[in-house]
Amino acid sequence: MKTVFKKAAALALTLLLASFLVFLAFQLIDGDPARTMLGAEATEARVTELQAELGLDKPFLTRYFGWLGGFVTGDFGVSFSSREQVGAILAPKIGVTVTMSLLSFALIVLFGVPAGLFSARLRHPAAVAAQTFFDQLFMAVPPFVLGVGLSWVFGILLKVFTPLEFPSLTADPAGALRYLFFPALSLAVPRAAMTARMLRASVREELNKDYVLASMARGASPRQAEVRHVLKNALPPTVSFLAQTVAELVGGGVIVEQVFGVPGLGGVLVDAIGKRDYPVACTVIVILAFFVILSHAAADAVNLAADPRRRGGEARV
Amino acid sequence: MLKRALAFLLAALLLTLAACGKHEGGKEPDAGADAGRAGENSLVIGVAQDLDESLDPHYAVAAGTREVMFNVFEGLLKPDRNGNLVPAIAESVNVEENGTVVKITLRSGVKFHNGATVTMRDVLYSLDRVRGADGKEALLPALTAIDTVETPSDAELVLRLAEAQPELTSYLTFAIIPADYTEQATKPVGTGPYRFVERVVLERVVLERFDDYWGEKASIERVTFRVIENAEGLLLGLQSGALDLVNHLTVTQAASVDKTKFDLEEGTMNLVQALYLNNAVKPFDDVRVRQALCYGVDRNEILSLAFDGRGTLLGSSMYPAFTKYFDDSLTNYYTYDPAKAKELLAEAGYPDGFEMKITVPSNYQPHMDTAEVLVQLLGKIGVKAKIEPVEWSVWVDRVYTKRDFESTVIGVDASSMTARAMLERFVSDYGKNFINYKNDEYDRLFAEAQNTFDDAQQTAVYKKMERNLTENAASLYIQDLADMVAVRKGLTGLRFYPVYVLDVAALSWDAQ
Amino acid sequence: MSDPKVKKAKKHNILLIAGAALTLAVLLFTFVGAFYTPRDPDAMNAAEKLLPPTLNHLFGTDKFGRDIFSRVMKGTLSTVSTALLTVLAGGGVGILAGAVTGYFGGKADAVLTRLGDTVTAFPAVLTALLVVSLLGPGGWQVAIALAVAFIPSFMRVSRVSFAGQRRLPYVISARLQGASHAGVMLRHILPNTLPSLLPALTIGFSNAVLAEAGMSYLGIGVTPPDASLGYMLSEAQGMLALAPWYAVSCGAVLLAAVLGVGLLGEGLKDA
Repeated sequence: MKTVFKKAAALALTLLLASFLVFLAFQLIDGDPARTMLGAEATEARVTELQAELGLDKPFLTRYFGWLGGFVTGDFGVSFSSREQVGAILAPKIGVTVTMSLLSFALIVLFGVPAGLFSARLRHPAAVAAQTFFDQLFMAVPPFVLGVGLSWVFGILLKVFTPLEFPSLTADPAGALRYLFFPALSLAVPRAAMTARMLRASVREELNKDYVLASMARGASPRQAEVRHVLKNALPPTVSFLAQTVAELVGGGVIVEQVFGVPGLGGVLVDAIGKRDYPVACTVIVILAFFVILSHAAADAVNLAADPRRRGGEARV
Repeated sequence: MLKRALAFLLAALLLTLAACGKHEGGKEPDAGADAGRAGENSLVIGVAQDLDESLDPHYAVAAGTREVMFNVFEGLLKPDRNGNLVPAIAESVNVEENGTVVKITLRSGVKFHNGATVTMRDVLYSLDRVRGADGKEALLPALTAIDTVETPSDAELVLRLAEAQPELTSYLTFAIIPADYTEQATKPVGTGPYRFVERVVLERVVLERFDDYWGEKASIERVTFRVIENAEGLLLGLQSGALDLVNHLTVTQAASVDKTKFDLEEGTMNLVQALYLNNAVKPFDDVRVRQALCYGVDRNEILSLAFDGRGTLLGSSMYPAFTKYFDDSLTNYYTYDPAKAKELLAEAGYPDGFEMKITVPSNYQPHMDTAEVLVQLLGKIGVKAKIEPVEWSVWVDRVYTKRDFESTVIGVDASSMTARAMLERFVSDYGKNFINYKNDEYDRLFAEAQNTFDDAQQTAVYKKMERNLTENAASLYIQDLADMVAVRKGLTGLRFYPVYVLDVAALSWDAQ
Repeated sequence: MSDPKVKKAKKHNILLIAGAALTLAVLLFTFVGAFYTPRDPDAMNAAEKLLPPTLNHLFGTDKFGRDIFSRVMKGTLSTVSTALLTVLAGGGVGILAGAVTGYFGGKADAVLTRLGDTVTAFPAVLTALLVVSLLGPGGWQVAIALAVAFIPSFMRVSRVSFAGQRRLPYVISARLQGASHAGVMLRHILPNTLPSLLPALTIGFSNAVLAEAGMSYLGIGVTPPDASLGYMLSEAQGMLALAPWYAVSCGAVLLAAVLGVGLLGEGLKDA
């Protein structure tokens, strides 16, 4: 119970810190939301009027706590630019981003983990060189280039999906899922290669250790040895890496979103940053931070389950 | 543990396969892709920028928003494709008594999209809102010239001015909106040939034909503006059948369009693209330096390098769509002459050239391309230019408002069809004179134009102002950009306007 | 002292040699490019726009008729230096922070981990804009922003490795023999975490190259007419149908750079 409470407190604190830093960042960078919105033709008086309307004339901390007060009570505010409710803007986008990220994560695990485990046992220098080559090949493909390539091949040539005609996630979930498979794949390819690489390195390292050799000497098959001990020790760095990947997927999909015309959180975030629309930007970043912390907490839990020795503190030398 | 992992992998695999395989059962996505949406009489238009601001026509400022909402709102007058103002909600507008009285008769039976009939109350409400008579800042400062407003009858409106304002009617295009309706910003209601259905931020804006429109009704029933911010995405959308029309394509994009499915139409963007020089900073405070740049840059080279030779060269702050005010003799006032440029530079004390910075909004590819070519061309006369790409927000703040820049490449257009809108911005004490142009003769001419009520005489004065800008090389004027539009075959009626609008009501699918 | 000595089943010198050769080639290409290019990389030519590769223009020409080969030579320099700077700065800080938090645990761990989470959630674009706002636009400013964004990922991997090692018998015995915490971390644990850290670093390098490309795509990064591989690739992405050679040649050089570093990392680990 106590740990749950502690975790929740830490979570809240991190979200608080993230939102404050975002506010601070907007304070520091050039560009004024009112001026950006009114564009080149605005009169000074009109700019001042709009600044007052948006509350931009108030001191920094007043604005921050005003936003925070609203956020805590579930009122995310109104977008500076479109004047729509932030909640209403984000609600449909969260679903799309979460679906695309989950799909992408599944692909990463599906391709990355088996590839890593399988390739770890290949020892021939040529095989290792080949693995490294393919890993690096996939790692070097920027998702936006892959995205355009996939769109041409599967969209225009094979007509598996219609690029830029994203079906609604609620009205046509099957169609939406099929469509999202391609952006998810573009995102997954480099990261799956990274996962395979990560996993292979730690598994191979573990396989070389004395205890595995000893266990095999006692008659355990290499496979059993692998399952029992190797994974336990080799997984944690990879699991941590995967957790990091989740964070990157949720926040870093903006370019792929744009190439495929998928309306997700990443696009909203970059757009809001460009317009200095910080009620929107701040809310998105807090949501992202929430996902990041959640995925890291999950990774820690998995690692802990795999290896209880990691439990924190008392018997330190 | 391994078993569980395998089970998970298997499940994930099945999910993936299911996701991949579903297309076989569903409808063929390419069904009718080449014919667009002719069958359902609807249309999808790709736009590169989100309509992300207040949709209230009096508050919306972005060109992209005005372009789309042109179909939803109308003023007392509205522009036609030749730049003339034609009656819309007004049946007639007459200027009397040397321009000090404007008499307006309202058209009867004009309906709002919410079903209500347009009344004098709505007109007065809209008018008071834009001229600041409602206690807030005037949204159209030009209309503050109106002294009194009278309504002799429910259909007649008389505007009296303290002083004659020859261009006042140009501003009567402000949208008429229902009085006291409070949701204009997100659920706009107007009188145009299309009514607003929905907006999903960063996704789309949907319009539907308004069947109670007072004038000639539109042909296409439903129009969706899809927001696609990626340049390649727009092309993919055209190719895949997701889009039927995309305008404002760059020449590179236009070159990639599939000519078997699309017609390419070329218009002009109606703006003055120039290397705007901050006349208040060294070395651009010296007219010889500015002239040297005008002589030293081969503008034809800019067009052929960055725009495949498309675009219209300009010599002053006026573009050809303003037929009345445009003076073509200024276009080649400076002919390419690098020797003369170097001579002028030497005279000004820069025999070895100088270093300069060009601040460009990075999201406007044509301006970025132009700047990149300029760096090359300026190098030939010894001027070492560097590009500073900035976000649009930063550009508005730093360059346009604080005037903290040396030079910038941007397109300047007119918010109304008046010469004043193009030329007032270089009057020395005008708030938006971002290039800090300071010329007594120019200021005097502008004052003269404002006091000249004879149209021909006034036009002559405005032309003198244009010449003044050219002779003093206020900036390095380049071109009016080409506007490339890809239109799906079978879709007809595309019209280019001298203002930044897309007239959807004129479009229709060929009968099949 | 009973460090489990890593046993090498086989020597993977091929990897090392291939990696070193490729990396050297890329470096040489970059180095030469800094002083000599076959054509002026910035010279435009309206008559030679978007030409496919020929002997005259090995990689063809771009939309302004510039020689892509020469531009790639110049662009590789900015890409490689940005990626290296990102990995060195981000990796250095991240690994150190991860080592401390993983080894000691406790309060410092909790605080730094939270901070890392915050940074992860903080969009790199915003960090980049912040840096650009304060220091002006340019390649190395973006490297700083990316380094900051990359710290948490290195920290995570390093933390988990150090946490896994700290209770192993060899660490305890080293401590009992009077080695300082710093000494144990540096001399005993670090070598044993290398197998996880090295790939993290080479992956970081690939990731940095991708991230730089992503930033260029969003219009933050090198200022034209300067170029980076990422900048050119994002430009090429817009004309894949029109000039496929543009994307292919930039992609190939980018791959060579990433592949060289990757092979080198793999080889070094086993050497």
